[in-house]
Amino acid sequence: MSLSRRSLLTTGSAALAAASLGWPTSSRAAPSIVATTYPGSFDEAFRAVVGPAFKKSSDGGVTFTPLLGVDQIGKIQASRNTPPFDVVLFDEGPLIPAIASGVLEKFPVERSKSYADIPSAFRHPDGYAPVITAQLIGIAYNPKKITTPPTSWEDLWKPEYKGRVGITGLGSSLGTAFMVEIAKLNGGSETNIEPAFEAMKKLLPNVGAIAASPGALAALFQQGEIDIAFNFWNNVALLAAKGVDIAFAKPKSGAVVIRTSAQIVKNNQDPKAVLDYLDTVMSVETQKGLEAAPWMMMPTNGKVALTGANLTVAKSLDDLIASNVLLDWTKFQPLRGEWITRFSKEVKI
Amino acid sequence: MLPVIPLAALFLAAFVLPLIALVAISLFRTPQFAELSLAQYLRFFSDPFSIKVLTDTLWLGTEVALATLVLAYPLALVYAASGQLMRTLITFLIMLPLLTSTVVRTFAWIVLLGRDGIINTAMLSLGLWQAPARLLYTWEGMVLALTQIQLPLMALPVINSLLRLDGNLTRAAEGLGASRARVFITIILPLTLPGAIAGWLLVFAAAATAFITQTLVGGGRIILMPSYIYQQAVGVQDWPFSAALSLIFTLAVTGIVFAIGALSRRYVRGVDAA
Amino acid sequence: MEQALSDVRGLSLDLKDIGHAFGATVALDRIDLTVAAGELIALLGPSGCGKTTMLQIIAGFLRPSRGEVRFDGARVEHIPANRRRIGMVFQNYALFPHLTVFENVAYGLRARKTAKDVIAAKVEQMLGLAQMASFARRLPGELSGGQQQRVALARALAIDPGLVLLDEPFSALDKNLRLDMQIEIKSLLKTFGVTSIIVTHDQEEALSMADRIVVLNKGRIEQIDSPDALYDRPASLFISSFIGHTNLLRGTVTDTDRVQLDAGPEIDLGRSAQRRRGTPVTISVRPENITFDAERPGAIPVTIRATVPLGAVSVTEGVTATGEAVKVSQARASGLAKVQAGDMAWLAISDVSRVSIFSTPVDDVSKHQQRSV
Repeated sequence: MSLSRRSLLTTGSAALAAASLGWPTSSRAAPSIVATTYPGSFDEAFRAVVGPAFKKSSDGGVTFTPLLGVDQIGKIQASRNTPPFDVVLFDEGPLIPAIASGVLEKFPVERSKSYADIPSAFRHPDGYAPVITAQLIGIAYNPKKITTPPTSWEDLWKPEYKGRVGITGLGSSLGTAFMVEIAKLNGGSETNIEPAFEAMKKLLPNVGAIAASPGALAALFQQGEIDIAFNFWNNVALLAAKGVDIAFAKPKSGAVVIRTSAQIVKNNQDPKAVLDYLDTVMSVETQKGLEAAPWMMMPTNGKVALTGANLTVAKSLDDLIASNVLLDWTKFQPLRGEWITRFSKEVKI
Repeated sequence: MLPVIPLAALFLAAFVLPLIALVAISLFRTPQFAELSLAQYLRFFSDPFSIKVLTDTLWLGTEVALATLVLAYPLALVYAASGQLMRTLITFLIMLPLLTSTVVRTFAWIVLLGRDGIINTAMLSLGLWQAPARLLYTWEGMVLALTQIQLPLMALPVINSLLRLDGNLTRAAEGLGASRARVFITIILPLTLPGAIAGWLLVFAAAATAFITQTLVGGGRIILMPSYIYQQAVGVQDWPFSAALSLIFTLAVTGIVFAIGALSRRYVRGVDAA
Repeated sequence: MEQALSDVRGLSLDLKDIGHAFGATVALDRIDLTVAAGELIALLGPSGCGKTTMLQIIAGFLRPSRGEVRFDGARVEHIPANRRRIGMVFQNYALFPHLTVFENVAYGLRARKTAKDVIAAKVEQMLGLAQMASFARRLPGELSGGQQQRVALARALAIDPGLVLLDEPFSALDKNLRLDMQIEIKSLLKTFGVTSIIVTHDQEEALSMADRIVVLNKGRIEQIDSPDALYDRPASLFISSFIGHTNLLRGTVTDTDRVQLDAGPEIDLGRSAQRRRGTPVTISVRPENITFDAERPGAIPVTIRATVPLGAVSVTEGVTATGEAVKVSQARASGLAKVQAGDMAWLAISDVSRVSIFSTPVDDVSKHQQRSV
């Protein structure tokens, strides 16, 4: 190689620096923090409930930026010193590399007003910010086409669903959680995914579509492309409320719970506002708002009771934690990259 | 010379520097940026799956370019033979896809191609099909959608070069006894080739890199270079490999574009290149 | 071979009551024309006179709104261009730029699915006749205008056409080259004995090439005649000013054979004016039919404006008291009158029998006059 390692690195990092310096940072002076949301109903709910609540309880405001969890890390890493967001949203999986890359700040437990209300299952073992909502993964189905509600994950393999099952890859928490759960139910574990790939091969005759993302999976129901798929409770409830023929079934082995947290970004512009924001999100009032129709997001504040449709999947928050499945993402998050690539190669219809 | 400087600076900042960064990143052996090596490239070229993704993507570009070419010529011939009003109408129809965003156009195709979509509903209610056909999330559906979306890129240069064609040439050929088909093949086609090649290059590059349409109409089943790069960069967080993928893809597309450009210059004799 | 070439192989052409309109615009009206086999005809007229439309109708690119087109007596309106056996030479030659000279000339033969060796022999023969044999492998873009012209003609003649149509064939050539090419092409066409129609707006081209000239104006035939007859006996004021140069002088009929010119003298026509006394007329006198004269009754007084030497002749322009311009063309060999700009001079008509008389509205006259200046 004619280029020395050093010169190459210098050029590369200089280019990166130039790219990051190129962005104007003047807008950061505004007394408004920037928080990410997930695109779709998550974003709508936060704008409708969290935005107004935060405005009431603080001097500044909050600007929401809808972004997929995985996209956030790269953006923060590209400009660590002036990060584009102050608060970022992570599912359990992507939170792990985010913590590892050192772009997140620990949560000031002692200064938080809402922390006491959060059950231990939703607190972070290493002192990062707690979980703000739980997403339940179960079976979504079209009740017009499937009259007997499914009862277990194995139902997806039933021959009568030939060509009617929708799946999505391991790029999302949804697909990953499903694969790990299937591995566990088939003699594998959180680190032994092999049985899940075996099972997936057997599922292929039933698979009608492989969606590029969880959102696309939901759209497939609306298109009538599929009648049954694993999906988030919350997505299903929202679609059903909109009149789509979709219903949710909790497998007898329990739904898989994804714990989603809002984390503090290092070098954020206003640590106090950020803490206020997180306290607002976790507060009883806000959590009640998010829990109510039409959002139906599972709360993580112990003082919030479940209402309406949420009662069909759990009696209470304690019941939600006790009767469903929590995964230890730290065990398999490092393996996911390999799994994603393998899924693209092996799972084909 | 002076006015070129801002453009050159923009080009440098927005294209050359990131490209250099991409090259640098691709030379690391691990996602943690340890150890310089050509491992990522070796990995690509020793992995049949990755190579298949690349060839599939290039083939997609070729298929869409061919499909738009086949559609563009009849359209251009009708256009050239039409009066002013009809021309305006055709121009409008051709330009229409360009006036809406890719996302909207793509969703329109989802509505058309879906199992409960317009095409299936129509064919079923007409009794032509017994069961709904799978159109969405298929290769053919994706080619169809991309063909419609990219058609303007082919039709406009072809129409332009057809209009620039001296009408006396076709008249001369006809006067010499050539049939319409012969005139098309021996005169019109070779002399409008520069337009067709320009269109080909645009459509090929645009279709091969059409991330949104590929993902939404092709679905998660079809893995092509753009979604593969996204997956490796964002999902797997393997920046060195995705940088290598990006460079290989960029080189493959530009390589083909340049090769076709060079070949056409060599074989298209006596034709105004513009 | 030489024998066969000089045979009359052209077809005869009849146009009968041809009319054509583009929408509301009448391009051609009541066209009757008969062209004998082997004849060389020029369609002459200003732009927009309908000559291109006529050519397209003969070639079969356009179906006339009305009338008959006959080749050798048979109607052909329904036969498309590619089956009419017509050789065409276009204004810009329309050589196929992506094909070599050989391929261009072979094009019509290939379209007719002629055997390869026959094509090769025929193309060689054609290029030989056109003196282009050594350029067979060249592309048209590598040839000069004259060379392209020859190839275009070779291509048109290669298919053994019954009729050759040449659309403004010399307008793209240098003026110096034009006469040479005109002679060359005329002789080629005559050698082949093919019936030929040249469309042109250039009267010199028409005069030098054609056996007969068809003068078109505003979609109608004004006159069909030999070049000499057209020049000497123009049937209309339009033709007298369109063919060659002429001087138009206004006047009034004063007696059966006399015209009082506005510019001064009364002239004796030596024949009947065929108009009633008092009719306003315009007389047309060619510049070479006017000479310098002494001051006497009957001579036209003018003020000299300028003298332009044009090689073999010298043209002097004077202005009458009424503002009419009069050109005098003198052969250099016979000695020149010594006049200078601003001088007063007297002009006389040499041969009154070659003066044409037209009764035309005066405002129309002045318009023509402006164009001829």
